[in-house]
Amino acid sequence: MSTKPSPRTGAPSLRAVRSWFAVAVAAVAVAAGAAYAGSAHPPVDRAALREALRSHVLRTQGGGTLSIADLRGEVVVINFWASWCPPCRRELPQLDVLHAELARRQGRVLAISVDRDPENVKRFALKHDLKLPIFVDGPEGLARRLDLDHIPFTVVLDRRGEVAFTGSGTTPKDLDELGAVARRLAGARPALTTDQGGTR
Amino acid sequence: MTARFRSRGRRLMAAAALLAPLLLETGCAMRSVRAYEREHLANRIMTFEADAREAARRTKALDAREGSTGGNGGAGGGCACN
Amino acid sequence: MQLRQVLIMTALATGTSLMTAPRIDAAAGVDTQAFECLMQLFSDSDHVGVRSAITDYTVTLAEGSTLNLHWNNERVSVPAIAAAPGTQEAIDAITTASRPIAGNAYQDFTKLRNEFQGEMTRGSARFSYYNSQETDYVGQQIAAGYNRDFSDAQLNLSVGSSFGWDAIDPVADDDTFGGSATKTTLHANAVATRVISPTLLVRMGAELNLVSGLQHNPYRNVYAGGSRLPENHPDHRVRRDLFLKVNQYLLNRSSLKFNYRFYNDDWGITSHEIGTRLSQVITRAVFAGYEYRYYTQGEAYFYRDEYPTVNGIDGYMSGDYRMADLASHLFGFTFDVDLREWATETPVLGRTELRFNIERYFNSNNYSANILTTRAIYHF
Repeated sequence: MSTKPSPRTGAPSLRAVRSWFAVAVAAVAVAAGAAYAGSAHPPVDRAALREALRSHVLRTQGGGTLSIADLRGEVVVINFWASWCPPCRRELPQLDVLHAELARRQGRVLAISVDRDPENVKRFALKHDLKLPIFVDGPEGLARRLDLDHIPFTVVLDRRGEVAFTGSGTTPKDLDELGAVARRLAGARPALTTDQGGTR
Repeated sequence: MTARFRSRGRRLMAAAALLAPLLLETGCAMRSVRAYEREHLANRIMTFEADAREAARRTKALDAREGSTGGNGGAGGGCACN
Repeated sequence: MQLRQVLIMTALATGTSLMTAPRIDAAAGVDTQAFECLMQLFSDSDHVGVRSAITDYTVTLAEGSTLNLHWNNERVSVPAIAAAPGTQEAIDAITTASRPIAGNAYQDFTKLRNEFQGEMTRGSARFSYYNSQETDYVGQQIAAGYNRDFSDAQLNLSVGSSFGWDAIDPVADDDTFGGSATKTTLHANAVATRVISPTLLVRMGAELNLVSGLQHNPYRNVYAGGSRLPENHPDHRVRRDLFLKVNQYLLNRSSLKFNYRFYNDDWGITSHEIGTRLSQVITRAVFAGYEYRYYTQGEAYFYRDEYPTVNGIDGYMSGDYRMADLASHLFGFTFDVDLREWATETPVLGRTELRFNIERYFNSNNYSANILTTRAIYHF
């Protein structure tokens, strides 16, 4: 190409870009710092969690009620989930499998949905042929009382009703750990493999 | 007029960059939205774009017809829209 | 080179500070395996037509990684010149055409473009490579990005950068003066998305593009000082923009989006864009969206309707209406059907989504365009 005249003079583009990026980096650093400062998770207060669970009454989809306190003597896995939460949707079919296992050894999985609309829960359960007990507690129920900062959130109660495990991870490793705790409490042998399929 | 726009543009951007953390991280003024309260936010109509590819297609189509670019947070180079 | 070093160091510093912050929330996974076909038809008042056939394939790899492969086969048709040979209208059409004028300008010109992109995401990071090929233009780009949630996922910060390098080799024609050329684009962006309330999201971002190389149409000539001379834009351009987007959920199962973008560059173009979109849930499976966008820009410092001398403005001259004062409107309508909610037991339809979108665009240069897009997504 032919030689072109140099761009117009008086355009301090390098200085301007440097100053803007310095400001942008400073802004991002301030935001990240403020976010970090405000983001530490307090440890789970297991005693408060146990008491809240024991005193809560869940409504079944058929209109009945279930008190978690009445399940003493069983290993109970309580999973808070929502049909609009993708990791929850992937995890629930695997918890359905765990429920079938625990049911043979005086244990169960309870899936507590924070959905507002029970129809969404019903459709999801039908679509994936889920057999585990599902409760629609809504966003103003136990989840608010516990002030959950993550979903899915899972609690495992041992046969005495004490909190043995809490977790919110959904990777295969997290689910393996959850399953191992529940099976150990129920007195079952740990599974040799973990089903990594999830709902789509 | 051009110099005035450049200077004004720089001031505007500097002000926005400094204000951004205040707007976005005023934890004292805005309450934390808990996970169980996010049902509406998870609705597909709450996404800013259907996906990044749709944003890129829109950017490319408009860049070829107008003098500016951007606004989606994505890159814009390498397209044959001279 | 010095500027590039500054940018690279800044990007590294920003990315490092974000990555070394402790992970507060793992990014939520998404059901992403899908095969998508999209057809887009574009036609404008200059009778230019573009047909885009796009295919995307997204697959989940192990441990939260996804791979997306994208292919766009695009066919661009520029019509023959309609005015009689030798008339002023014919000459004007030739000088503003974005096509080579080889031999007979009174024939349609067709160009094919193939675009490929591969993108991998792993957790919060993404990396992509892009390649576009057509007769006279080869564009390539690598891009990377990273995002992280903070404050119990109240805030998401994202940074991205890309480097593009293009090779332009104009098709020889009767009055193109230039030869091969290159263009590079260095891009960086930072975006913050904040949850304000259970029904309100806000996003703010800043972008910077540094462009070097050929930035005008190699086939276009401009009248200057009584002569017909090749269009000539500066070799360097610094482009920056700030944007703000707000998305509010309304209790009647709809959402209202508002966006504003401020742009300016060192060619003197400053623009403002405002847009709004109303999205509605009609039923569980049917969604509609209505959109309006208004755009206005000022002209480049070197743009004139007529150039009195052959030197143009500082040696630059443009016949590109995009360098001029401009205002435009865009109206859009989108209709989505998620067949997964209806045909739940059907093997194929029960995994399919359909989208239909139509847009009408017109601007103050008596230019208008229609864009029709249809899209089918199969989830597996």
